[in-house]
Amino acid sequence: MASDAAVIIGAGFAGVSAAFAMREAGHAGPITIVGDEAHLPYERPPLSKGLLTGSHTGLMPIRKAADYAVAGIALTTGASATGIDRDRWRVELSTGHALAYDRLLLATGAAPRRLDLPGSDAVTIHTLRNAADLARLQPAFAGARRLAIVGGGLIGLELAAAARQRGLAVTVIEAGPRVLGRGVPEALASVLAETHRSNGVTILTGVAPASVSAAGVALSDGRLVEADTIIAAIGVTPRTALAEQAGLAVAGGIVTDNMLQVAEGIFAAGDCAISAHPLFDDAMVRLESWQSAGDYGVAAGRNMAGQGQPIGVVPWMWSDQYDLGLYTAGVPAAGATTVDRIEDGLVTQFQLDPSGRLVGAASLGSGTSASRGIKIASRLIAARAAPDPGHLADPSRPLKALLQ
Amino acid sequence: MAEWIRACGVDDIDTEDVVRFDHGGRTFAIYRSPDDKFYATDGHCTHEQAHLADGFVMDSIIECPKHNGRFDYRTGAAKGAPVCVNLATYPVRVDGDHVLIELTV
Ligand SMILES: Cc1cc2nc3c(=O)[nH]c(=O)nc-3n(C[C@H](O)[C@H](O)[C@H](O)COP(=O)(O)OP(=O)(O)OC[C@H]3O[C@@H](n4cnc5c(N)ncnc54)[C@H](O)[C@@H]3O)c2cc1C
Ligand code: FES
Repeated sequence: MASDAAVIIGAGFAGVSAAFAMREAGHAGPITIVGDEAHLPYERPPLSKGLLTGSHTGLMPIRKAADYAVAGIALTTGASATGIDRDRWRVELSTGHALAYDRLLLATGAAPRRLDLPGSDAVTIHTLRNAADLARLQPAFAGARRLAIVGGGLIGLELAAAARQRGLAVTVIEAGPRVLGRGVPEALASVLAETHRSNGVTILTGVAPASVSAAGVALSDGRLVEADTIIAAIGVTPRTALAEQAGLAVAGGIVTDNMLQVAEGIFAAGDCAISAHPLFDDAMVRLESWQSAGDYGVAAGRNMAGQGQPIGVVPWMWSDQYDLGLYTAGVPAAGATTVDRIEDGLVTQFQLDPSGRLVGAASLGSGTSASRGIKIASRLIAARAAPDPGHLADPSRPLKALLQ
Repeated sequence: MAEWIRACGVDDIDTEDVVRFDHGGRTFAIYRSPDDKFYATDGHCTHEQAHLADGFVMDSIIECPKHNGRFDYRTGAAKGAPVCVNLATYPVRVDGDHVLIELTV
């Protein structure tokens, strides 16, 4: 342990947040981040928003290049970790080099699921996860007239909104009975679906794509969705291959305890990890959100520096579509009771577990107006509060009063 | 030239809260602290321009609605990632029921 070296695999928001947090928490040894993308680590959320509509140009760096130098963090980009030798405490790289570690963080993120259908070898089916995907999609968008998006989740709908802002004809194909079936309450999802429809998006639900061709996407019911550009937005799978090869526990993500530790000296955080959450009876939770990647990255970095703290952060997520902002907090429990709060232009749903404890909340409103209620909900969740459902539902009673 | 402009009424802001004020093509956030003092900052977050009037006030901190960046609204100081650029602040005084802020026009 002479050098006390830390290696971080994955230069996304989780990995970068961990590196800086580790340094701020007093880790004095070397810290190296290894990332397989060539870019200075950048923010992903703008990829499906401003960078597609054209309101932003250029990737937005997570940190300035100089910040890494100041913090003494070595950034190795354009190289991937190809193996972990746990006996010799070394990470093998695609460059042929190896890095010795005393603490290792797996922050490998997630990769989009591919749409594998008859015809998919012959046409381009885009996915959107990184800068390389965006570089392929941008020119296709510029020349496109009709876009088919397979998948009515958050990314699919953000893409639909961006495409409408660019004047493309857009069809969203969703196999489930409604869009945003995973994680967004129906009351809010239906407002979003209606907004998409009134902006000219065709949403088809309960129908699966059967094959693709230059003409577009043929559906299981025989219809053809004409399209010159096809995007699959059917979810992501955590990147766990490296962990599996190294014999680490993987079950829907790299398995960590509630201090984000996987095994001796090894931690995991961000989209790749599934972690016991102390606020929810150590239920295993895997998140796919920017805020959580950052929060968990920070927590992992501090614990790698020796702090040994269980995670205390409440999961938090947002999405922008047209002028609407969706915010969610917590982990909705199965079989939870829901309480709706309807205010001027704001729809909020709270989820209470069988004991009455608040475990999740989601809110939709124009711009950032839905954020404050979710911040309050997040604090109530962290305090394990069981707020009065009558108060939650009553728009004349301020939510902030529940914090006293 | 500096000028005192009426931003809002004292009763337009709850204690430990924030409201938006627009003037001359610019936008501001006006705060009332738990100890009942008034403060003013630029309206937009220095990270990605979310309006802070949709944020959350706790003690002397405003938390941005978008990515939860935090500032001390009394000084404008950014309190850590993702915000790293401080907010501009403006002098405030209360005249009867009116909250005034000093702007250079
Ligand atoms: C288009 C898009 C829009 C989004 N919008 C929102 C939003 O509005 N709100 C929200 O809350 N969340 C949003 N997200 C989700 C959010 O961006 C992710 O949850 C977050 O980026 C996860 O961070 P991470 O660091 O865990 O993983 P990632 O950001 O995926 O980073 C992992 C990095 O590790 C690299 N890597 C993987 N394996 C290796 C290896 N073996 N060696 C070296 N490098 C490796 C990957 O290439 C990648 O660069 C969006 C995501 C996308 C793709
Ligand atoms: S816009 Fe304020 S923190 Fe990002």
